[in-house]
Amino acid sequence: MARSGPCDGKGTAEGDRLLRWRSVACNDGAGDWNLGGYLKGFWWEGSSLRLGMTISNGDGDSAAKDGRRERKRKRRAEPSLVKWKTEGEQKTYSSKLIEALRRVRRSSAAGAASAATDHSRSRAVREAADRALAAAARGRTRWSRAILCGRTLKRRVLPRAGRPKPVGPARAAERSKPPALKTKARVLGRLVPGCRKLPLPSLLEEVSDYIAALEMQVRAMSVIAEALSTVGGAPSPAQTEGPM
Amino acid sequence: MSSRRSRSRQSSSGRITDRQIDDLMSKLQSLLHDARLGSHDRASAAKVLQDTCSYIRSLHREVDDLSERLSELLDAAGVSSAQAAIIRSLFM
Repeated sequence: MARSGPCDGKGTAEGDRLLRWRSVACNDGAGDWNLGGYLKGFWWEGSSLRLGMTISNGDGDSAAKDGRRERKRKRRAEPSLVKWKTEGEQKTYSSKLIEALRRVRRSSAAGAASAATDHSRSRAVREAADRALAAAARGRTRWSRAILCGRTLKRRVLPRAGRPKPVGPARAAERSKPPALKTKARVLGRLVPGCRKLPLPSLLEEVSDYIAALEMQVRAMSVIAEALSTVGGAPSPAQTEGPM
Repeated sequence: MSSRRSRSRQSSSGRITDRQIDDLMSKLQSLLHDARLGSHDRASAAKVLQDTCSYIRSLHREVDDLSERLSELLDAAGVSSAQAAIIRSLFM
């Protein structure tokens, strides 16, 4: 990666990287999530992020930037859900999750292991899994950014990620939705992190991506759980010859 | 870059019709719920939203159960055997 910065490589804790990302992202721009801005500061190791490189290429070239913006606009219009189903994505997610799990294990062993209740341990695992999932989304969706920025940040006065509420005729058009639908949409918005005040079309896009991501998370975690639970027994005959 | 902000403002002033929303909703949700709804023609927006909510809740529950199971397994398994199992699983 052609990035200059304190990229410590494999030794860096995931939390550290995420903190750095968060500080860049949250300080950048008053209102919106500045995609270009925070990707410039988005240090990441390994193969999982090539996006930063493509965005940084030809940064000074305005014509190229317009072309890229056009492509970005088109890409945003059709979020591809297929990637959540690919095996490569799942394997990437699994390896990131396993790193995070190992850190959780080390921290829980190093700290007061006896004091760590089952609930807090499973909560730590859940949060690590969610953060890894949000990282896998490459910051393109609102829910992933909300997760990575820490869900508590939502309760503070977050710089408004959405646009201010439209006034006048647009609001009248919104009111045309029956209230029952509005409440259900609000419930849905509460379920997806970071999507409380989203208008319905964006909310639906976020929801579909979130559901696809959750399904992949469930698949990956079941695979890992199966692998760990058969640790004592013989390896399954379906396994290929891995470079062990 | 205000491109995203101006983009979103444009889409809001571009009067999102109910028809658009309904299309979007049926398309997105039916894609993901093909396993659940089967071939029902439940085009009702409220039902779609309701089903989506319950589906997300069930997915959350599953993730919680899995993370509980993983936390137990992590404590029980030894370090090297866990690593070996994980490496094996990645190549399955």
